[in-house]
Amino acid sequence: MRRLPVYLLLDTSGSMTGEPIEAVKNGVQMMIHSLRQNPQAIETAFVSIITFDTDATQVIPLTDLASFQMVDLKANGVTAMGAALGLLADKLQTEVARTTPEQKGDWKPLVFIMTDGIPTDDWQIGYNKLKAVNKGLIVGCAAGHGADDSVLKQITGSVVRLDNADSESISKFFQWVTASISTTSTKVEESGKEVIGMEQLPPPPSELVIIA
Amino acid sequence: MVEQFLQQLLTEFNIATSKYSDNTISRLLHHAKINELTKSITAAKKQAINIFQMYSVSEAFKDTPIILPNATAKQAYSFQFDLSAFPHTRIREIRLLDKVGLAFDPVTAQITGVPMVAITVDLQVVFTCGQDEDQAEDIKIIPLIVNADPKDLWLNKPSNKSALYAKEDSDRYAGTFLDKRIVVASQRGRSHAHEGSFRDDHFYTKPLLLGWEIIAVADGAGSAKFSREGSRIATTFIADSFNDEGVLKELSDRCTEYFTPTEEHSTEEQALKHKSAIINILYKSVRSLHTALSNFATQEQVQLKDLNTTLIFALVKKFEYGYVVLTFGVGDCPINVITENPHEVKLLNQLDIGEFGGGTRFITMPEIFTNEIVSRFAIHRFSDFSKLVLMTDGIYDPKFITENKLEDKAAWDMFWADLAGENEDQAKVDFLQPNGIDQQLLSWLDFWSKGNHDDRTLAIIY
Repeated sequence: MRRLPVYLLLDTSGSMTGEPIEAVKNGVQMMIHSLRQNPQAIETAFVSIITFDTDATQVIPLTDLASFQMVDLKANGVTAMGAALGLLADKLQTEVARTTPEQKGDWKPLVFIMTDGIPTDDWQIGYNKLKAVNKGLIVGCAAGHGADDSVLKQITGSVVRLDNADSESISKFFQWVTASISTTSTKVEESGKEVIGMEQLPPPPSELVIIA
Repeated sequence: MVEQFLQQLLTEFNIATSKYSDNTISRLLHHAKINELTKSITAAKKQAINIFQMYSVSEAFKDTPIILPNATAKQAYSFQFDLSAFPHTRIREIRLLDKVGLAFDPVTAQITGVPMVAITVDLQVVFTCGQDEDQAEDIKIIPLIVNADPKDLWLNKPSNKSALYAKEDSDRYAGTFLDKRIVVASQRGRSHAHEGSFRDDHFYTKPLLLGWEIIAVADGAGSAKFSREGSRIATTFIADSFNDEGVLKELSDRCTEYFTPTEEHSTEEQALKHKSAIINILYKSVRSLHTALSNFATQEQVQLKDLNTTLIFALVKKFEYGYVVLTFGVGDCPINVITENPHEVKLLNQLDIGEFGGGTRFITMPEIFTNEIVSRFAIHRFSDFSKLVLMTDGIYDPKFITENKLEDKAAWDMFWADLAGENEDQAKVDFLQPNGIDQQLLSWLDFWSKGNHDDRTLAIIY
């Protein structure tokens, strides 16, 4: 069965402490809960969570929605986004099945990167590694005033901005991510085609401004 | 013991040791009352520390994460608690577990059962720590998620019968085909049923003049608005277009000359001439179908791509020299023949398989009408065959997985075993009994396959 791999790259640096990190945890919980009700999503979507602060960690490997269990997230440290991009590149190679004459591989992955800051490491090293292996759609989300969207814009042509990194805005972002995964899982099952641009995702709510 | 007790007591009461205190202690070592008090206080302390430890274990147990794997409704579930790190901890009962439909056995510390409905619940695990009569009871909360049975999440909304180009959600047919029989069934996919949209597949079979018969199957593109009508037109138009005595007479003659040359010194050149003539006849019909679809789009003021559909057909006649099977295919639906003597499986058409989606071709695409279209036609002769099968990708994706399995005998053996009832639902198609076989095939089409919920159409000539 062809899976739809979804990678969430979440900023867990110190600046996310308090309301933002709690909102991110809730957002992921609600997302999984809601996707479990969607027959197409529960069969096709597989979710992984990579967090980045002083280092990048895959806290949840690519997991089907039925067995997915959220873990606790703690905010501290700096913003090693480059390490997260590099880790994502590794995971795309080891976790996503390629099409061969013997088997149909997975659908192209969907990647969401959410950050409230500025990378503190050399993000280009990780980005170059990712560029070489990624075939799917990457959506960047710059959350709050402190987020640097110029780096996200260099990573992907699909960037949204959240003016505030408060729980309301973050929750809206995850609702949109949920809708995007639903839409994509329906689309791949029905037409056999992946989404290739943000314009094929559902329109984001007013809290999310498309900036690239 | 008494001496140590008294010394600790003096420290506690800030009484400095002196000659008198040492003497007093010595005197009291055998004092009955002091001995009794020492024993009872030590015992009381021990009891207190035991209680402390018991509660401390209880706190530790409450804080230790225990993760219950998610359950799925209607699927057997079991979980074994591992309490080896807590030797004096016992789970007495798990409250709210009955709400989920599971049971807990305190003796084995196991949860078992089959949950019936999807639910997320915070289980109250009632546990005790400690031994004998000194036991602390507490409650640990462990969340349990029961996923819905994926089958229950799919809705089955009827399609809107008053919509433009409305189509029945399923169709079936059984009858004769030349001196053989045919059974066909077509079922709307779950993804369409979930949204109440139409079946996009279509089939059409018809006896033609001069002993020819045709079976056509089409799979309307999921992304095209009116592909349900495109597939209907494609199958019916192509079948009707051949029903012309002049055309079929020439087709019969050309086939006979191609397969049983009458001239004594027939050349390869002549064979090629007959072959081109046959393909040309087929081509004309396919070309006129494309024109008909274009005209229909213009007339209905829709775009031609709104009618996007694949098409396969087999035009068959039995001659004294065998069955002639003329085929055409555009898109990713296969036509297969199975012969007994020799035991072989053959794919009769080339498939347009789109690696990463872009490669699918439709009869509605003008770009297929190049010189290369010749390779889409094929002329076959079989002295006999046991099955001629046409199907849409809604069947072969789940049953054959990849295209290269379509010529794999083992894969086909499994497919026939599946049709004979070797499946989860024990749905069986009895090829020996013509009555009701179309309904049997339609029921069989309802098979469950994770991730495969496309429209399904299967035609078998046997």
